[in-house]
Amino acid sequence: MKKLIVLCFILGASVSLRAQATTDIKIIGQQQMEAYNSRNIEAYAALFSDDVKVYDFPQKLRYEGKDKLIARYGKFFKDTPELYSFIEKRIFTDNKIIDQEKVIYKKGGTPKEFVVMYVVKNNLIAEVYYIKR
Amino acid sequence: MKKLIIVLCATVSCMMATAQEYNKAALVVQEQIVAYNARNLDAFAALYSDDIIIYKASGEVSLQGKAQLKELFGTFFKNNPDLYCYIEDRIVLGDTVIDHEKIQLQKGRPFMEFIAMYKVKDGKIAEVHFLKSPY
Repeated sequence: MKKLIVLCFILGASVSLRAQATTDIKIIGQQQMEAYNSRNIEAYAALFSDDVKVYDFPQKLRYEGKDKLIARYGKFFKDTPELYSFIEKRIFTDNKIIDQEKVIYKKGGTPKEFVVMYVVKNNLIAEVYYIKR
Repeated sequence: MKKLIIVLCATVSCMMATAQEYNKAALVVQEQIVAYNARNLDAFAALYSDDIIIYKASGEVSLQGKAQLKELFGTFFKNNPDLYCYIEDRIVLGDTVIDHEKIQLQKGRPFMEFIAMYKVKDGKIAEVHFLKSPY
């Protein structure tokens, strides 16, 4: 009986852990979109790991490191005050977010379509893959 | 008679509009899932190009060429008569389809989670990249 209770407990804990992982990653996805659209570089950069790697899918490294991400997006956010990203569709797994995004650089401009995959490790975005850009 | 022609024209243009609303790549991928669930190897293989390449989530090549696809999926379909796949979610962009798939090998077993990206060329699946798989 004791064994059964322990087993049930472990099972329950692992199920709730998994559910927690999915919730966490959905929150990260939401925060990423909000920080991007408010062009808040501090809030945006805080979601990425220090050694974040950004690739063109599958393996072409574009740049590496949070400092480079801050340099790029800091300038981009400043230069593009009307920037807006609309999430057309989002797929979640326990450690990945795949976004279909429509990005507008200027009000009334034609949206540019992107498909981007974010890989999350320890609650931070560790890898970004541009699947379409 | 004039009315009939107008109705015919309207019907034809309506049908054309409907046909254009389907993304061709998504249609091929959907047919592929139907063939997969029916374990119909011929129908399944017919939707892939001769030089199909399937990549694992690690980036390694999983299989290459239609002959190998037929061999591997032939065995897989035979060994898993209860095989079932459903699409949880899908992103479509031009010739690229990304599917969030749930696959069950046997009735009553848990569904496994996959994300597959299909690239369609000339009406056939030319590349598959798994972005997520349980193994």
